[in-house]
Order: sequence, then C-alpha cells, then structure tokens
Amino acid sequence: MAGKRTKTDIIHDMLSSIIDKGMQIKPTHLMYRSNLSHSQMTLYLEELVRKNFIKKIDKSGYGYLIITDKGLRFVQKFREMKEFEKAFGL
Amino acid sequence: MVIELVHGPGWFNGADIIIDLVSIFVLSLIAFFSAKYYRINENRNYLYLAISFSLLASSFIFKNLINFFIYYKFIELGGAKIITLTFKTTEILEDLLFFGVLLYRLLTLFGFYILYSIYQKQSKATIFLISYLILVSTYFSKEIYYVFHTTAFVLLLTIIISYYWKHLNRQYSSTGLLTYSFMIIAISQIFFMVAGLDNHFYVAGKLIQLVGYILLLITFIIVIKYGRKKNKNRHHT
Repeated sequence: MAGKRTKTDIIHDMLSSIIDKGMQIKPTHLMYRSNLSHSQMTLYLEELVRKNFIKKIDKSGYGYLIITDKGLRFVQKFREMKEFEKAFGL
Repeated sequence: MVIELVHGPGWFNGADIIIDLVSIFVLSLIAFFSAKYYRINENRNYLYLAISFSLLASSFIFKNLINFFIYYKFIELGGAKIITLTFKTTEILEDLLFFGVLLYRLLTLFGFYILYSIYQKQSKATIFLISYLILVSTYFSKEIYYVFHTTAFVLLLTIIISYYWKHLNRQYSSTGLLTYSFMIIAISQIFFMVAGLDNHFYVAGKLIQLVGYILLLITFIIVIKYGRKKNKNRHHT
C-alpha cells in the first residue's frame, strides 16, 4: 500500500492532472482527480497560484486553471527526483 | 609523529590527480542534485546523501592538493612506494600536508559511513561508537596506511550489501548499476591496501577507481535521462 502523500506529492498530482487534461482543467475536476477535499484544494490552489505554477483564467463564462511554464518545470524536476529516489533507494 | 601515504611510480605522477578530479566531478554532481531535490521535498535522506557525497568530494579535493604539493615540492622522492611525512613544527608545508592527509582520510570514512547510515538506521549510541572507531582508525592509519584502506573497504562492503538487497527487492536496474559502481570502488581499495608492496598496484587501484566513478556517472545520467523521458512521454499521451 502506498504511504501518506507528502505536500510535494499532492502538488505534483495536481499539476499532473492539469497536464493530463490538456494543460487546463476546471477546479471541480481537479478536486476529484487529486483526491482532495474542498478546503484542502483551496489551500493548495492558493499556494500554486502564489508560486506561479498555475494561473486562473475565464473561458466561455467558466473558470479554468492552466499550468504555467514554471509549473511544467516543477513536474519535470519532480519526476527526475523520483527516479533518483528509486535508484538510490532513498 | 609520522604519517604514511601510498604512492605510484614516477611516470604516474599527475595522472592520479586527473583521476581524482573525475571522481570529484561525479561526487559533486550527485551531491548538487541531491541538495536540489532536498529543497523540493525536504526528505532528510536527500540531505544525508548530499552531505555524504560532499564529504567524499571534499576528501578528494584535500587529497589532490596533497598530491599536487608532494609531486611538485618533493619531486626527489622518485620511485618510493610509500611517502612518510613527518610532523615537525618548523616546516609549515609538511605539517599542513600531515594534517591534510588525516583530514582526507577522516572525510572519506565519514562520507562512506553517512551513506551507509541512510540505509541502516542506528541508535545514537551506535552512531557514537562507530564515529569513535572511525576516529581511532584514522589515527592508527598514520603509521600503517592500509588501516585506512581496510576501513574504507569494510564501509563500502556494507554500502554494497544495502544496495544489493534494495536491487533484489525492487529489481530496479539503476540500483543494480549503483551496486556495481560501489563494488568496483571497493575493489580499488584492495589494490591500495597492497600498494606498499609494489607501487604498480597503486596504478591499478587508481584505474579501477576511475572505472567505478565513470560507472557511477553513467548510472546518474541514465536515471536523470529516464526521468526526463518519462516526463515527455506522459505529456504526449
């Protein structure tokens, strides 16, 4: 069984969900895909926007979240880190 | 007070400095990435890995400085297999070399011990005991140089066993490559142990060390490349 997700794991899962949905996602979809409660998701979204990993946009009257280049770079670093972790057995 | 240091034949002077520079590069690269990853997820194991590889890189920096001064200041040593440095308060350079050798050995042994400690959690008493034994071992390596190489070999064996079990349990090929890298580095220590008999063993040990660190570099490149490739594949699906 997988262990408890760390904060970094959750941020990675959220950003990966946006990538998997074609770089943009509705907030409710992101909440279900990331397995987060509404309150948790609000906190994480604030942090992701503050860190400039995602941006909020309006499209046809709906709110969407899009991933930024900085967010994409974080995902890349995170996956490199996970491979490194597996290889070194950390 | 005297300190013993193994030495290669005259024609090899300088080549060992280049081999150690390669080792410093590989160790620093892994330490840098480990520190970078520690900033991302604050898992302490990354920090310990960064400290361990930084200590090992620093130890080689000290060793290279020592070799540099020995080759260019004490060139008359010629084909000696073992160099004996004497601590005399009148000659600052030789005294610095004396303490430099001790520091290089201490940093190497603590570097390997911290790496081992990542995989084998120990009580504070055990950490204290092993740290004490490393200090004692470094002290006695002054007059019997192979005490240092034997201790390094034993520590490397424990690291190899840890990686081997991880590889067996997870079947992760990069961990297998990592095991082979440390095995080769451990074999180089056997050659350094007997280098006092014939300094060609020192040459062999250095060449084996080079192979070990190059394999470690290849493993690192494979790991990072695979992480990036996985990232691209995921973006395109």
